[in-house]
Parts: sequence; C-alpha cells; structure tokens
Amino acid sequence: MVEAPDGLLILPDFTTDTPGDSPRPGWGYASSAQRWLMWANTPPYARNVQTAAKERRQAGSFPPGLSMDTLILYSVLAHVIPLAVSPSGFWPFKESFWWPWVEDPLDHPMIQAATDMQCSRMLACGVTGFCDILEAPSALLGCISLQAEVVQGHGIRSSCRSRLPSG
Amino acid sequence: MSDVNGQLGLKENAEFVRACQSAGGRVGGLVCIHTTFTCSESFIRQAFKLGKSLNGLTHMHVSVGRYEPEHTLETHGPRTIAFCDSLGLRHPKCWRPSVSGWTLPKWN
Repeated sequence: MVEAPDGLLILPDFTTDTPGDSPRPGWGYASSAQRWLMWANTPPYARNVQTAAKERRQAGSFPPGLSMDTLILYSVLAHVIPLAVSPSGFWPFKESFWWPWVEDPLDHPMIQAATDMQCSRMLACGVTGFCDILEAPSALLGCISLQAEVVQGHGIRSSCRSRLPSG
Repeated sequence: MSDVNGQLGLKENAEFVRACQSAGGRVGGLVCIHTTFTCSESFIRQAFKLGKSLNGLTHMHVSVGRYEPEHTLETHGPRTIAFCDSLGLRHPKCWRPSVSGWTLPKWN
C-alpha cells in the first residue's frame, strides 16, 4: 500500500536519494503528513498523483536537502589576498594567482582552519551536504583525511576527493 | 606536477574511499581526475578503472571555459564530450556535474 501524498509533489527528470548512488530517472519526492516520500512516475505510485495538492514537474536533477556539488574548501583563503592587477584569462589566473598565492603555500593547519570555517558557514545558511575538490599540481598528501576529521566534527554530509595531478 | 605525485594521489584517494566505506559515516570519498587537459589519457583510464573497482563515482570537470574544448580539439582531434566518450567516461559511475564551457561545432 503506497501512502498518498497530500502536499507538494516534485517530479524532476532525476532524483538522487542516496549518496554515491546514480541518480534515479523518473523518481521524485512527495509530501505526506509532514514528511517526504520517495515518489515515481510509475505504478503503484503514479495512480495517487491526483491527491497531491500541488504538483511541480521540473527539468534537471533533484538532490535531497541543500547541497553544493562542487566546492573547494580552502578557496576561502583566497578572499583576503590583495591584488595590484587582476589576472585575465585562464592560465594567467592559474599561474600568477591561484597556484603561487593560494595552493602552493597551503599546509595542513591552513586546510583544517579553512575546512572548519567553510563548514560553519554552510551550516549557518542551511547547506546539509557538499562535495569538495582538493586540487593542486603540488597537492600535499594527507589533506583529505584532515578535512574529513573536521567535517565529521560538524556532522555535515560530504564527499571529499582529491583532484589528481597529471600522470 | 609529476607522475609520482599523480600515483600517490591515486593511492591516497583509494585508501580514503575505502576508509570512508568501512567507517560508514556521513563522509565519503570519490576519485577525481580534474580534466582532460591536466591528466593524460592513460591516467584518466587508470583513475576511472580504480573508481569503478571501489564501487564509487569518479568526478571530473568537462569543457572548462573555452580552454578545454580548444585544447581537446587541437590535442586529441574530437571535441571534449566525444573525447570523454572515447575513454568510456559516459558511464553511470562517472560524475560530471560541472560542464562549464561550450563545445562549439566546428564549421567548415
């Protein structure tokens, strides 16, 4: 017996409900008695669609909660670096600013402090999950484990990965 | 950047993914290869194979700015998406959330 939705029904093209799993085509969410249900366009779910008070179909994918799908945690450290001249173009930005001023000076305490600050900021504005990219041609080893320890302390859900340099 | 650092990064990624899977908490790990212009073809294949063996997703950016489409066209022949397809990256285990640039058609 499928519980009937009585509130908002959201049916995007894809829904992601479990971290790490592939998005599910044809699935969405429906509210019922103050909770959210997984919902689908197919039976036995579809026959109860008429009971929803408000239906919204939207293109694209729908993640649970507020999530940031691409974040560089330590990028916050770039916010206070004064520049006499702003670099223009992709490689000038990397070569004259991002690598020498942000990534090359990184050390483990800076990674930890930046992660702590970013997690606090995200939680303060309602973000419940994020995916971080730890990048750099000269990336320090051991950083993702340090980040993970800080993130676990905040209780926020995340996927951390190292953006790998050329091989 | 060096081959050695690249391989160390892969190893660290794999160990982190396994540790997260074992712990079963709210933090997970992914393998990430950045883009087609910062990793060699063989390295991309190796990383994606590793990601699949860990039963996890592999993340990458696609068509970064104008640079990557032009670079892929000049270096590999096909445009970025087609080049990724040729490497087997059109796959449910390859996560490409940020297609940030245009891959314009080549006009004759």
